[in-house]
Amino acid sequence: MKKVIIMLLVISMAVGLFAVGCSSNPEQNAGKEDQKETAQEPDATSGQEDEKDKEVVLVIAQTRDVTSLDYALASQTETLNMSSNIFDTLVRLDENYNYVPWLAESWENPDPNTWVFHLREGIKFTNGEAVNAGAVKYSMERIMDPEVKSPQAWRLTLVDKIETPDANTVVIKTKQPYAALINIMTLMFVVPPKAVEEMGNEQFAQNPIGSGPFVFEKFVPGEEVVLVANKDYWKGAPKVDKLVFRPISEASTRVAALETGEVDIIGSVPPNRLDALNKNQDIKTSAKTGIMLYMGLDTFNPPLDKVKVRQAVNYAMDVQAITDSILLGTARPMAGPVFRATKGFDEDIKPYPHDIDKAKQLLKEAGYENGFELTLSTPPQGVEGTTNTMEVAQAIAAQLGEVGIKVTLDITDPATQFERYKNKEFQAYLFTWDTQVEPDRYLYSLFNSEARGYYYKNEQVDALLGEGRSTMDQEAREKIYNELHQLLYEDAPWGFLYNQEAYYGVRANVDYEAPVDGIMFMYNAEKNG
Amino acid sequence: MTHQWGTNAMKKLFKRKTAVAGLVITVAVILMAIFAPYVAPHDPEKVDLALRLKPPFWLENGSFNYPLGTDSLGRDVLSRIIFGSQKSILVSFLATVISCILGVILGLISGYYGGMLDTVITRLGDIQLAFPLILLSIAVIAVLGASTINLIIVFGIANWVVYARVTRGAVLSVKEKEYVESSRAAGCSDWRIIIYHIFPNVFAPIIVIATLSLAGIIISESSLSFLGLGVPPPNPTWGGMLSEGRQYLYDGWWVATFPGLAIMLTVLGVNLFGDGLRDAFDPKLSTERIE
Repeated sequence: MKKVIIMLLVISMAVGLFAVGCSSNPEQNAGKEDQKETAQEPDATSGQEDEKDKEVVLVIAQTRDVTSLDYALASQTETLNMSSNIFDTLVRLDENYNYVPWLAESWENPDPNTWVFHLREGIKFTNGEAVNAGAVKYSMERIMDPEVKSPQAWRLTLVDKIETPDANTVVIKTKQPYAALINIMTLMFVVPPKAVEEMGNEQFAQNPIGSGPFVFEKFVPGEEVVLVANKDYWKGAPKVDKLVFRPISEASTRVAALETGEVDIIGSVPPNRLDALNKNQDIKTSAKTGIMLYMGLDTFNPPLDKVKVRQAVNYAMDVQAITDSILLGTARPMAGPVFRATKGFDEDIKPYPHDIDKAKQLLKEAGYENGFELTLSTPPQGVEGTTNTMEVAQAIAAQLGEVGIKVTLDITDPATQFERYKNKEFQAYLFTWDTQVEPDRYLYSLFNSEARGYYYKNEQVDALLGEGRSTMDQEAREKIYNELHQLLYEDAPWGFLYNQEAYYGVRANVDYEAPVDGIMFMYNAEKNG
Repeated sequence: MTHQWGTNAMKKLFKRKTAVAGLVITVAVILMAIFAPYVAPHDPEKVDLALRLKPPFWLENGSFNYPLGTDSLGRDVLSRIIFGSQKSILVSFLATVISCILGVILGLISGYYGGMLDTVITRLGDIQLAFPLILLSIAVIAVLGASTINLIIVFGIANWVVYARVTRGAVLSVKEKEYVESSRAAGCSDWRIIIYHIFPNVFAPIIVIATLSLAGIIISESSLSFLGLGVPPPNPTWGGMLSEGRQYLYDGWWVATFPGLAIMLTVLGVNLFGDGLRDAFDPKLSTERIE
């Protein structure tokens, strides 16, 4: 009996293997021409049908999964990408960093504390609700509501009240002159009040309804987010029918998926693969913004409470060598914490040079001739568009070691990093911020002691930041930020590192360029064939 | 009696070529770990960005100065492998010793006393076996933080069950034997019986299991380092090197390949030796014809 069973097993295996061998062997298939042709006929017709109503699908790989689709409730870049395609804002930033009308036709400042926005008429959310002043007011007040606990609430702390004199006019009163409000408006997504009230915030963040160029279809956590074209979009239907966002966290997997054509667009291209992608005729790469990596320092405790020690850290690092070798020239050393693109960047300030003698001398003057021990907290992989952070951290450790600063690396879990940051657990830490034109949008939250006074407080800096945000005159503003730039450069609350270009890889048949604001807004994207 | 049995086993062991090869590899790795500072040509943590991704000596641009090439930070791959063996050996040996002691003690107690104590210990072991080792280690390391000591403790605690089970089985099989009963009749204390009359019986199988699980721990340690949960960089570890080299497979295959080979060779060596030991000590399990 046993033997019979074994025989049967062996035979079935042999037959199975034979079948597999047949189907994968083209020569054998060629011998069966007739069969092949008849077999292909139904295929061919169904293929034609596909061609007729073939929808244009754009697949985009992001580095992380989306947790929420509503930017009012989550601050991840991936969420921002979703929200900007599903919702509209009053104002948008164009390719030359100018603010252009979107839902708002025009705006003005009757006095420095007042912003008046005039809305376009007749625009509707996809559920039929009207996009009017009431919806704008509701959307912003939702963010300001302490019960909603919106991570964007801090952006509106200076807003006093929002008024709606008529259905198409929004008047925003600020507590003090607030020049950066126009920039903030590019992130204020307008949501339909009734739908949000009915669903509740949590539910709405998973099934959002907006007036944007794409309509939410489905969200499978860990797999994909699908958005379909809004055929009735007020500016005209988008040129692709469907967007599929997939999380692929491994950089090499992401690149491979682009190479095989499995996805059309990827972000965070690792520098060592750029060359290969550029040589590939099916793929093009572009970068318009950058991500800054910086090494924050705890200036409240010794030895980093001394300016000379912090400057010594900056002199001891050879940032140029890091950007040249590890990042293959895709990053530029930063001169202080201000981006080159920012209005208020002081051209005369140059990055700290690599000067070991100077660093040693400064350490000696500060009383740390024999160096000290430093714990550098760093995330394991690249975060938010930066790559190779682990290697950069090790290179920094080695460079600081040359002036006697013994660095221990503390690998942080990205999930708890921000929590630990807020708990003042770090002595030195690697963190990022993406390129900004508007100085108030990042300098205030990074250096104002009330916004984030976890590791740094400087009254002069606080004063300049306050002055900068309430000065409406552009030239005077730039002067203030020039001064602030100089001050922060000398006070060195950070180890200044570099600004890395954020490279996007795109299939050649797709018309899409890297965004200037780092947000993947797909309205103008096209795909041929 | 025991002495003669031991020499017989040794003779058998040395007759097997694979076992001898395994022993040689194992001893070589241990010696490499001990004498790492003298053997390694360079400082394993010395970063020189100008020298990054230099290929091994037999390729173009390679030099004998860096026989296996350099990694993405210009560190010598060979020196890092040599120093990396220290962590692998240290962690796996100490962890094995800890789990061995823990397991044997618990096994002796549960086998000898039986009853409630036995049930509790065996069930505890069953529960622990239900957790995959790597998952358990990740959880513990995530909470306690990654350091050499923590790794040793985690692996030490995670592996006790096998030892306890084997020990318990051996104890059960000899506990009713005449010589145990006679020593009990002679008024020996429990501990004296356990240590002098029962423990020698479990010694041989325990040594065999220890050798085999040593190889498992080397792999687990590498896996954790690969996941970024092992000994933190810039300390060289084999798993960590694999992980760092992974993203350079296109421009520098040697960065990940050689540590991978080192892991493979070491584990192979230890396993061969362990197999040899098992065959020598325990004829019942031997795949060879007994002469």
